[in-house]
Amino acid sequence: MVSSIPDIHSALRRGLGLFALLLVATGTLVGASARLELDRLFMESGETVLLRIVVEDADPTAVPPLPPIPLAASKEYLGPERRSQTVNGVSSSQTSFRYRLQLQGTGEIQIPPVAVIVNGGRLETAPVSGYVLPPQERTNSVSLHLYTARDTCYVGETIAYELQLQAGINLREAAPPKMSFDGFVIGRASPNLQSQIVRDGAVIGIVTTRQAATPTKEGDLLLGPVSQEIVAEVGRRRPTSLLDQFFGGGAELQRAVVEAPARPIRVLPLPTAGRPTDFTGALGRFTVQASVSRTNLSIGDAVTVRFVVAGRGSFDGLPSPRILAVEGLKAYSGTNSFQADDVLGLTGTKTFEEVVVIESASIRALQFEPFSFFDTGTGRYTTARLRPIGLSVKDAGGNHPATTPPPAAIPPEPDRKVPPAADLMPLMASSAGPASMGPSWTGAPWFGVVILAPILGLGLLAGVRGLRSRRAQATLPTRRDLAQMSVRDQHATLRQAALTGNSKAFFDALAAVLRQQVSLSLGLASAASVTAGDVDQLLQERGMPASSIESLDRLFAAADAARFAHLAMPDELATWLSMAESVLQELQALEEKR
Amino acid sequence: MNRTPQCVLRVWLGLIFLLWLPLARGMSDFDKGVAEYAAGHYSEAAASFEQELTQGRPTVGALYNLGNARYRNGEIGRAIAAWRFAERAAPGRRDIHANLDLARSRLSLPGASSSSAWVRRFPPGFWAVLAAIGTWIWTILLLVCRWRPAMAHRLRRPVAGLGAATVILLLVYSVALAIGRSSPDAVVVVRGTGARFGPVEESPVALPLGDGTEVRIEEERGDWVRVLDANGHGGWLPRDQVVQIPD
Repeated sequence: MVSSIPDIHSALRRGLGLFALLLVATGTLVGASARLELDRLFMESGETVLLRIVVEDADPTAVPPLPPIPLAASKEYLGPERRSQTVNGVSSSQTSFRYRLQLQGTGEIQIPPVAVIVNGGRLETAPVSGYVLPPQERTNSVSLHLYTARDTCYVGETIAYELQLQAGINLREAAPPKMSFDGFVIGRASPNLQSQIVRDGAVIGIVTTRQAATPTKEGDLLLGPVSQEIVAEVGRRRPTSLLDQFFGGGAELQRAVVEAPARPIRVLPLPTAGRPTDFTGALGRFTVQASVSRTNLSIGDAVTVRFVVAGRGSFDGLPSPRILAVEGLKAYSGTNSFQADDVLGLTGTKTFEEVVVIESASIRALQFEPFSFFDTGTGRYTTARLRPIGLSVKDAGGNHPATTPPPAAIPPEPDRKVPPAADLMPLMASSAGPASMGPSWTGAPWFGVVILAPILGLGLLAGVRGLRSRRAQATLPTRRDLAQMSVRDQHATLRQAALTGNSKAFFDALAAVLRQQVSLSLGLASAASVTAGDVDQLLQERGMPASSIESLDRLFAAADAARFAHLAMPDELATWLSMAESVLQELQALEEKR
Repeated sequence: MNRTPQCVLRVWLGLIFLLWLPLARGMSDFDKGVAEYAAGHYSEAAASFEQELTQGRPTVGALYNLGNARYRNGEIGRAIAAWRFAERAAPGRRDIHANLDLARSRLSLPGASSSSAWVRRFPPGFWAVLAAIGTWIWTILLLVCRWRPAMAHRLRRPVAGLGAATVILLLVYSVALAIGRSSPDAVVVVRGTGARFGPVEESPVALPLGDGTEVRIEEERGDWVRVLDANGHGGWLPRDQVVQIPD
């Protein structure tokens, strides 16, 4: 389908208009949030507690009404608090609505979600809970208390503890608390929160500190004890000078150490029963979602896969969900970030990113390995399974590979129970020989050697014989060697004949030695195959001096003449010998040059 | 003096008992399976033959009979697997081939293999043994001709004929090996399953596979195997849903 340009512009205008409308409608709520805060999580029956509804980056239009709260005998609105600040040019505002609750009874106090009407919309807080304990007997006006919501947890499970320094008198100083954490790793801590409560008609100041702790070993552990050094005003005397009045003097101070006993925590091991094979240590209760930056891809494209793990649990060291490794797909670990929903980081959202490179057009979906975690609330393992994300991958030519859509379900198979007996061959009455259930020995590499060994042996034998034959061949004299030997023999005969004056033998040997040497020097099979004129020309071409060629012709002529008349004196023979040796030297020099 | 014959008799009887004991125990499971099969108790018969195979020495008869019992019980995949093990041990037996052909003809699912039947009837091991025998005899004859030149003339024709036959056998073995390497080496043994895109249960089904489909295992990963059917389509199956027949 082809769209014209005006059509596209019109569609764009309409889309932008719709987007602007949505932005106006929701713009005031972008970044706005509301939450509930208790000044402490552990309270005693008969005390008051401060509840705040905190609205950030929004303008509430009315004081939000509180829903019914169990264990709260009465509720008193104390008024709003407003704060605004600008950091790096970014403005933020915070409005808090404060309520004082009078507690009655014991147990877990659950404050349900509260709706806040703000300009442009409605916000809703998450619920918050605390614990109302029975009233305790106190003998000192200053006391330190260590609370944990649970006395049993699992190894690796992050728990929160709360430390409260309560004083019915003024405190001048309070050193940081000293606490023992044997077997625990401490995590995030909240800033100190100061509040005042009314207990039995008396005003009590409380400094509250919260921190996360994670047990690293199983067994009965102790969280604490805690001690804190304080300087308290225990009495007031009459000021003796103006300086005393100016510096708040006149007070009687006492240094003391307050202590809170350790809390026993039973740390249980993670159960082995029902532990999934893919469990990698995630503790808590999570939901997992996966998304990709785009699904229409070409080979070689990289996409970002984002895993969002949200919930409550131990986020430190939380493993990332994994992409199923298949051929044609490569995954590279990326970044991760954590957005805490509470100051201790016990609830929040952790986001993992991976980069995936598609290397094959056969990839049609991103598959994910199951993400298993131990749900500390139920004490059972849970496996979250992510749905595959379909991809459309083009090949190098920009085409989508021809693929058939996967069937939605496996088609049912017909029942083949007890097929008709007529066709089946009868049973064997005997065992009919042994059978092997393992791999066949004929497929083993050594059996290949067994098959080929005789052929290899024969080849080796033939090779050895060939080598021997070649060596033997190398020791035999060549035709050239034989010709040279013949020249040497004839030369010796020539000299012998010259000494003895045997004219016939001399000229026979002379003709033979000259022909042999000429054929050697010219590389001819035989000097008889060419005429005397050709020989002269060839020798001339090879660089033999003309005088030597002339001497050679004379020697051949003498040898020819001697065939008919063998008459020559010994001194004549010596002259012929000298000439012949001179010519032979020239011819041998030519042979060496060749 | 009279004690010696008695001792010999006792030792003799003891030896007979020791030899008879495993034989009797092995045969009993086999015979029990045959009897239960005859009575129409195919499941029990299959259990007896399996007992014979796991406790005693695996035999062609026990494998073949196990296949029959499985087939009667409607477990066509397991029947084919048993017969293929039997066929591997006794490639020449016609009753095994007949039953395998019958089971395969009943499957109209993709992957019910019908190609390369001759390779299955004469597996690479069969040709390997023949080729080995041929090469050794041929070599020995050549050596005899070399060391006893007097016999060379008489052996000339047998040596030439055997040489040609050996070369042909080696060629056939190579072809059978190549075909065997690409032919199915596993059988799906559960009904209504399907190969998935990935080795996880939540992965969608890529390829429906029926009980008895013969497939080739391409890759193994943990408890999963990647299989290819006769058309070259692949997917992942849990390992316990296929029986592998080693090459």
